[in-house]
Amino acid sequence: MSREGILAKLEKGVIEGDAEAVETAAKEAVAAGLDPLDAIENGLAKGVRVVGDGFGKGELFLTDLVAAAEAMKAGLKILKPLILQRSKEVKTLGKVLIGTVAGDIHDIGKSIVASLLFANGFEVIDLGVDVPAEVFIEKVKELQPDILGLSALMTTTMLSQKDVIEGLKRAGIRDKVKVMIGGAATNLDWAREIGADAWAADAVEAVAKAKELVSTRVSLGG
Amino acid sequence: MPRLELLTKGQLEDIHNATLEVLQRTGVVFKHKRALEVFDEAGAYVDYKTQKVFIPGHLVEEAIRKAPSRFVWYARNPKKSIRFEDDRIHFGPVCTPTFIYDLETGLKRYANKKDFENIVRIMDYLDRVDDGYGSVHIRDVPDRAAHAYAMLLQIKNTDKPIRGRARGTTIAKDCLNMISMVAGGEEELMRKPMLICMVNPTSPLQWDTVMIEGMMEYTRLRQIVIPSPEIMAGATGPVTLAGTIVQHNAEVLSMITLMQLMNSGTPVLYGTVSTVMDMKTATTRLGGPELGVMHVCLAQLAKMYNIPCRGAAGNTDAKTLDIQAGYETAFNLILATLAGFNFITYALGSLDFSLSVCYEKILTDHEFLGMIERLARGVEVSDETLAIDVIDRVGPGGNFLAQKHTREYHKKEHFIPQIFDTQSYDRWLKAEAKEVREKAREEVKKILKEHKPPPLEKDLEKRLEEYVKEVERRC
Repeated sequence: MSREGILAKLEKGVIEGDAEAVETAAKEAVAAGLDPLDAIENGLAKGVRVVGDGFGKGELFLTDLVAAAEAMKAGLKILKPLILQRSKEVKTLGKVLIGTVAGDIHDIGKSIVASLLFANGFEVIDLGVDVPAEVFIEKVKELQPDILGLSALMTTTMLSQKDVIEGLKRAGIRDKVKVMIGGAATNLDWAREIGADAWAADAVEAVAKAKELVSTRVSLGG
Repeated sequence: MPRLELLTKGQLEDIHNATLEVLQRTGVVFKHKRALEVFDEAGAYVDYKTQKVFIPGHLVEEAIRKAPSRFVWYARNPKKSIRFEDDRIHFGPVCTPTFIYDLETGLKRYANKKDFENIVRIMDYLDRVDDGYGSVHIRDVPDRAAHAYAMLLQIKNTDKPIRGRARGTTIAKDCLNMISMVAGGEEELMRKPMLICMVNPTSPLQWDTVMIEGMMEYTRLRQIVIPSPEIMAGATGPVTLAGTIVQHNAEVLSMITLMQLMNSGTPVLYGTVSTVMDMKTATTRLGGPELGVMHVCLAQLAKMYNIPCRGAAGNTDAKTLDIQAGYETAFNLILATLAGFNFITYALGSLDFSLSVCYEKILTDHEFLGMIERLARGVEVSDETLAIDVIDRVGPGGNFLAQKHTREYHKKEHFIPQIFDTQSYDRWLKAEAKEVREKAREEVKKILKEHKPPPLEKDLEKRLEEYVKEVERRC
């Protein structure tokens, strides 16, 4: 099969959320000697962008987004190791570290944001739930993300978002990363109060804000 | 009033059996060592490493039998105590939203102490509301004292039954200490439970440490606990309604089992706030029809178990007081009523997925509850109401307006709206053509200006205020 044919299969597999089809196409890409970076950027990433945009417009469903992300990950599992062999890097819009704060085990909102960021071309590292402030700070030092995303669903755990920001200041690395917060109990006033760089009401807004944060210096004007 | 049922007896049994299988096969996580020990001692299989409990059917069924089928939620004023049993229905406001729509500006903002107090006073005044909860999360006090203020403001501003918070040992103990002062001591309190609280799992199948801690304090003093999952079908529960009902049932029964093991016969309401997740926007569809449909099924389960139940109806996903808000609120309130829920919360003031309170909606919802009550009352059929003597007296072509019978029964038989407009068009136009929202706002202001809450003994008030100051002083 031609390069175009394989890329189209990768894209279609992701759009349809068919992890098996993507795996097959990825193996075909390897067998055909395609540049893995090419296969990722012009096959997988194209497909996931379509789904991400569709979800953002309210045309596609969360189930489509999650399936597409899973399918893409299945393809990446096969193709990414080959890039590292050639010591190049997949272009991403930026690196995002995300997690639900200490004392809070709510997972879904944060995972949806992670999926949508991933679908929009960010590298996302999900630290999970009930993440202590110290762990966030350690990981920021270690992984040097562009953005740190903090999720809190409850009025009580919102306060942990403040703790993380204070912790970053004490560690002298507050200016090394942009902090974005979210969660049903939060709002823009709270974000301003604790000195976050951005606040997003939902996953779609989170992507828009993340893109702003990595491209320019923005302040919490609104 | 005949109850609405959507599931057959056979289907209920299938669900119950599926539930027992989930509890035995998949298990439930309880993030609390003492809880795990209690289950272990009772004969459940406990994995202390994963904090997972596999509960055998006989323990669950024993717990269902032990949970009381009727009990009273006592109020400061004994005449306002309410009884949970059979198909008696009680209504209460929305539960702890963070935001409120400002009465003057209409803008959404964080809620504060004054809002909480206002809402308690309004609930105290409105006669279709059975509890005096102030709803909102108070954000202009130190967070560690918000619950204490909530208790104080309820106790001061209403003599209807009130709600406590159960998020953790400290918060639960504070609320219980304060209500003990009102009850006249812990022993009195245990005999006559005055405080109710909600505990929520983090679905699927997980109970968090703070919720278990809170439950333990309330259960120790035999106060009423309401385990209330808020599963989002498709996300934190199966996308199928039957599947979510099974998981929901497993979550509630797992907590009821723990409660009955810790204090046999302690009062519990079978609760629900479960619904679907909207797959386009990832929001919790508290205004959606699936909530109402699952409510009916869950009430059937609770009644099969002979345990009084609590619903969450009256929410809307609309962000303004518009027609969507009307349809969604009405749909689920009607279903919850027909299902026979004993305590229907969220029945007043909820907007924006229950994340915001709307003052005006408290009043429009209260008006709607009048329609609901009319439904619940049904039709009285007696010699008097069949009225064939009156029909005969009036005869063909006559009218009934002047009849003594009409004057005697009018107010008993008809719902008389206070703020829904029933004027003819021209009269309405002449009366400034007000929309119901405006009239509701005027009514809210009038209540806040004029209504005097029932007095509280000065000594008790002082002790409660001291307690709140103590809580605030803690660091």
